[in-house]
Amino acid sequence: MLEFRDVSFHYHKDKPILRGVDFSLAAGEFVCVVGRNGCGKSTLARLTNGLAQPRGGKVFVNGLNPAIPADLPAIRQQVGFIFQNPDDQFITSSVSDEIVFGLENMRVPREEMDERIRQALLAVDLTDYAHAAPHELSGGQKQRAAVAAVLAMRPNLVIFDEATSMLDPRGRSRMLALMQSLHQQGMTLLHITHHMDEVMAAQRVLLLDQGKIAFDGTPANLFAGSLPQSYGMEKPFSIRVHEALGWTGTPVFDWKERARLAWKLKGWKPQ
Amino acid sequence: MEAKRMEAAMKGKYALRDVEVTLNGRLVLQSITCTLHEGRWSSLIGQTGAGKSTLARLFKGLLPEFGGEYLLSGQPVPRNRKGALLPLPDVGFVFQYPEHQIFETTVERELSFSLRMSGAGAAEIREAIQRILPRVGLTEELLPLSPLRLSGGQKRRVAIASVLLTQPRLLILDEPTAALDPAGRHSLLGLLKSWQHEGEGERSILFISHQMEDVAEYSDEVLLLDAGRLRGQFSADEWFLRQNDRLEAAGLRLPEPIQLLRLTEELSGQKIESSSCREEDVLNAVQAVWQSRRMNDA
Repeated sequence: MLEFRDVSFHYHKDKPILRGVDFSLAAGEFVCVVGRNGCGKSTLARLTNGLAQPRGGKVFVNGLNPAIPADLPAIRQQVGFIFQNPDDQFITSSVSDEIVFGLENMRVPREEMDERIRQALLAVDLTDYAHAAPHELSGGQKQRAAVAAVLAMRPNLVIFDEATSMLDPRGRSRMLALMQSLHQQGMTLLHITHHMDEVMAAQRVLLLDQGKIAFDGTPANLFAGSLPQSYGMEKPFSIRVHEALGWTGTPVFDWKERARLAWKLKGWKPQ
Repeated sequence: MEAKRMEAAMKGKYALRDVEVTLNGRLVLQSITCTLHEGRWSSLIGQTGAGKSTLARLFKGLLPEFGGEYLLSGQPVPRNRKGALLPLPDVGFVFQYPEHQIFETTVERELSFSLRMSGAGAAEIREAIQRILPRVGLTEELLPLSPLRLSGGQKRRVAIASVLLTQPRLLILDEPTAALDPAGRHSLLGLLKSWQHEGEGERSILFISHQMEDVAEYSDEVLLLDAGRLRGQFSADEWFLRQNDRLEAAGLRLPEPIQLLRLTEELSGQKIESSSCREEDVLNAVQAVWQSRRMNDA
């Protein structure tokens, strides 16, 4: 689905941003990218659809190469982007116009548009807001409108570039629930975040440090050791609780469900 | 209760009495009576749109018109000849995404801006900057650089340092940790706490945040706004250990450690007393209950 082969990037030669980044994403994976401010996370996202070009190595999206101009239109249809600031990406005057804008650029025929808009609004739970103007929406709703605009283009991969960082807790948990439901429907997701609880919801996590991948594995494995703290991360609450209460097994995202289970299991004695 | 609050409002350093604010024809704040006590970390919580930023701007004196009274040590705040409120010089204000308010060509010029404007000499400015840099976790090598070359976290530190250099007595911060990595968030909160403590009871903080965990961990007291009204001002322990219903009624989520405490109470059927709402204390209290269950099983 997405492949980085020995990719490096810099704006100034003396200040490398990415140094030999190697990884690939299989279709349907939900992957989080974490790392300190300035570690190269957003650059990595930008390299996937040609917003930035690698100085060394190669990027492939379903076999297409963002360095080849002829491949770019197809890549931009396949890779959807949700950015940090909900106000920066809303460019039209209503939610449905926002969706239409992308579809027109893709030259989707008129008669097909209505159905795509309907499906996209349904997916993000904004059906009643089709004609709402940006100022009538909360930050979280604007972000979901942006997701709708991306989904209508029928992408294979959606990249959330700190898309939850400006939302309040309610907006953030709705956005995360939306990501989980897209994942269940088979969408490939790359989610850049500083919220460690969101990382626990993903299947796999890439930790970037000084332009290199310092960890690539499951969230539970990342947080099991002391690695997160030495890279400016912290253990999410679900892990802290797991450790403090001496639960066994693999820590999970839903610590409440785990607590209920652990409480029940205490009455059960192993043979 | 009301009379007591009014009386407290008279004595405190920054006090509002029956304040009402209308913006663009919409009533944004109403019947606000409260005091920010000196030397304390007060947090302002409430859902998006509850009026938190408007209240913060009022404390800085950025709202020219409002109903009711704003008292400084019991005296009405100064106003200009037209009756408009003037920005209060000893209140520092760090806006949301403060790095967007950086405008100078070098870090050094950015930091020295307010001191230059107030007529400080070169030696005095240099000394003040050298004192502040380690406090906010920045180094001297950054001084000649353009702020554009800094990382997001560094820019935010520069912006906060330049506000601290104005030596405020009340520091207002609107969501200062948004989009910071966890290490950056902890170090910024720790820096604010030590800045407050070193003030020997004269430096106050008004902290706006949606992160209930941070509010529970760092606040002395908490003000809850809901739809433009103040729903209470209590200690953090009172809110998070005893007033959960009120928080939830205002649409707020409880901090995760408190959620664990409540769930453990539900599972065990017993009331759990924690010595404070801070995570370490809550986990200790909860741990004891889980431990005793294990003992009983053995």
